[in-house]
Amino acid sequence: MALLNIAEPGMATAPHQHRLAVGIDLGTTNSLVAAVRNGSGSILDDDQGRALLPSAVRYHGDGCVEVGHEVLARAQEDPANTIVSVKRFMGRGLNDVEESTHLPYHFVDEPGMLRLDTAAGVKSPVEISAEVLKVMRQRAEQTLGGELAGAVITVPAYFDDAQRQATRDAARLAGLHVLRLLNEPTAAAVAYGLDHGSEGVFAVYDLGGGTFDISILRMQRGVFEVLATNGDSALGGDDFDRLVYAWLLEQAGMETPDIREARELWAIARHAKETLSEQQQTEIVLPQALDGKPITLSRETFAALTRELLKKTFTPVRRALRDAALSIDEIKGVVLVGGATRMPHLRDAVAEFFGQAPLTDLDPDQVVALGAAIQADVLAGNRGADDWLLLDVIPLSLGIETMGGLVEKIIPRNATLPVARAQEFTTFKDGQTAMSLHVVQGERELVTDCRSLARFELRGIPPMAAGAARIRVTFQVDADGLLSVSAREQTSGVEAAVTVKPSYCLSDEEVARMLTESHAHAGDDAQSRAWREQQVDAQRLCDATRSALAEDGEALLSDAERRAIDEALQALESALAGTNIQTLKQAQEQLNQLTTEFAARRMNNSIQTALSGRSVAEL
Amino acid sequence: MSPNTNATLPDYFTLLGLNPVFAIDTQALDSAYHTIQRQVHPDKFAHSGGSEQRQAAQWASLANEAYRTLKQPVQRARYLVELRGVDFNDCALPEGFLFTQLNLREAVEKARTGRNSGELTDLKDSLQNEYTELHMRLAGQLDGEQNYARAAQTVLILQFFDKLLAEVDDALFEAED
Repeated sequence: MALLNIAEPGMATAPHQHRLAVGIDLGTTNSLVAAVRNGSGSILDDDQGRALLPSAVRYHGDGCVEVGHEVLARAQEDPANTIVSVKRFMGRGLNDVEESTHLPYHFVDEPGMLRLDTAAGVKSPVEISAEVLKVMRQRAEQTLGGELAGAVITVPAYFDDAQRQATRDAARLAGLHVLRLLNEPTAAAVAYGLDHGSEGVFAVYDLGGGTFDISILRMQRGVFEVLATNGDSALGGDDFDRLVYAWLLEQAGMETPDIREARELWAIARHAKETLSEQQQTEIVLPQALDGKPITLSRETFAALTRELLKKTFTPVRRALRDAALSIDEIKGVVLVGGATRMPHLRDAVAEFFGQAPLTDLDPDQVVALGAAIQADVLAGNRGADDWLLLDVIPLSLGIETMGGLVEKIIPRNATLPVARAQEFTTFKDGQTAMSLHVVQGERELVTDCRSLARFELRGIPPMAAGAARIRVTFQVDADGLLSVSAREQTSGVEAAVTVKPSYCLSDEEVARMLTESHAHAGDDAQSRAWREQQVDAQRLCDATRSALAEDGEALLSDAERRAIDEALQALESALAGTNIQTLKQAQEQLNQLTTEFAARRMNNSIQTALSGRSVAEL
Repeated sequence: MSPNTNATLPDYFTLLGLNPVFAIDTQALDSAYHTIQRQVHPDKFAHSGGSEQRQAAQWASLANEAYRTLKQPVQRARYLVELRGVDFNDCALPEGFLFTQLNLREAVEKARTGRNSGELTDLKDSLQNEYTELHMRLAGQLDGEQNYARAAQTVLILQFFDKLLAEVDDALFEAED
């Protein structure tokens, strides 16, 4: 049994304590969890030695939830309550899901995100994804032997704000502290870059089950800089299955199979595709209902069937190269991600396009989780001064609706994150005190062709003559690619209240309700859980403040300032020793406010020191 | 010096430790940018508390904006001119340029609708030649004559060329696709 670790009052806990952090690849078909152990990244297997966890969730009438292999194996038993590929529904409304009528689920059309009606009640895609993440978390905590300090969750580079928001909520619901949402191609590059110690420009070609992403990255002196990203969110490995499926139907002389036959044939098609990655040809036996005829599918036929589809992936590749202002011969290496990139004719096509064989030494199914684990280790603060930095970009432009349903771009795609842009607006009526803004994401000129992200209402504008008010609206996108908005009336300095009505996300209240429900079900006391989370948060702030004071307190603070911070720190520590969550929150907020100016000075100071160090070194 | 208050915000050149001139050392720019991001990027504060994280996001956004502006020559020139007190709201393209502007527009429109990649490439080359010349003139106006009002006009012309070149590029991309 582990001994309790009791820190002396006023002393930070051991400063170089190793924090347990994992990377999770929350995939459409399968999910993986990885961690850095003994200095290198490794996939954490389940107790039967399996790395992949099928992202399949089954709800039972008694409220019981199952996840994984067994669920998938018995999907036919209860298709309506066995949810697979829920990732496609994250942050999506029912009208976004084209294939919804072909799926065996009971969809509920809700404003924002669709829901699924299951035996255990109505569930949102966020809750369903959280079930997968909970299994990953449990696996990690069992294997690593302790509570996780945080996790890096990967998302497709092309995920928009709503999809990212939904992923973050799912992690929160699963009790994970999200260190970062990391783009899948960037994660893959991290895994490769470190193994090879590479410098130069790399392309990551990521063909998942349902989406295609391309990212162009430059690695230079420990900085991974994403130069451009592009993709096609409606093109994936599943489309290759679909073509084989259609071909099989044609061979069998069938036109419209029933749902059972279709499912069976679909599975046969997928298996045939996978077999062709190992063999020159495959013998297919059609089910009895489709006359049981044996058919041979060769690599050549498969390649011919899917040639046009494969060609379609190179349009986003060319766009990304153009956005990065690079030519093909400047690419030093090509990384393949996703199980679909095992197809030999795909590898040939990639090799031909880039004029070099792609890098394939890491398992394309595992490379994303491995990269995420390495980044999680960095973010948790487990590495020293030799660590590196990731500079990612926003994949899709952010804009606002203007007159006539047109989009005015505020933040262009491929802008490096974090990014803040301000825009000024004015009133068009005398005495106007409110205005609404509609934020959209996408590249098209018409609002209706872009994705609606949120509608903001600015209230509390001081009444003035039309056109006199100057309202400065700041759009901030953080390192995770998530948007927040603030507004200020410039002439009066009045902070306009911003009401966010996210078009495709859950409200904070909804997340809170789900948290309560999920804890109630897990036999966990919601209140004690909330207290524990707040406690971890507060402790983190205490530790950070202590080490900041130790480093710069003397140099950057006046005596009075130092006293005020010390007092607030003591107040927070005594609140930590108490039991009142409100007191704790207030003490935390108080310390946060008092240290804002200190943090700013430290930031500025570290820039000056770093820059002067550099010029000395260059002289 | 907090990005919260505009008055104390460092200008982009100061932030990146560069002299406020047009002809900057782009390698020094890259390296200063990386140095700063290594200090202030929010990922460096992922495991610490609230105020440091918020400050980090603000400084990192500022560094990104500064880098993006100074990296691109026309943006850099525009920023430099504004830093020297010229207000672009008071500037207009030189009157004599109007005719050239119309002719160029027409040429681009014609090449675009033709979707002929040979024609588009020729147009791109000739636009780029003029662009390079204007670029050199701009460098002289900014770092030599220090005539910022004249430089502002050249910036406007170059911005027009930027737009045209982007359109030709788009058309070329589509013609080759």
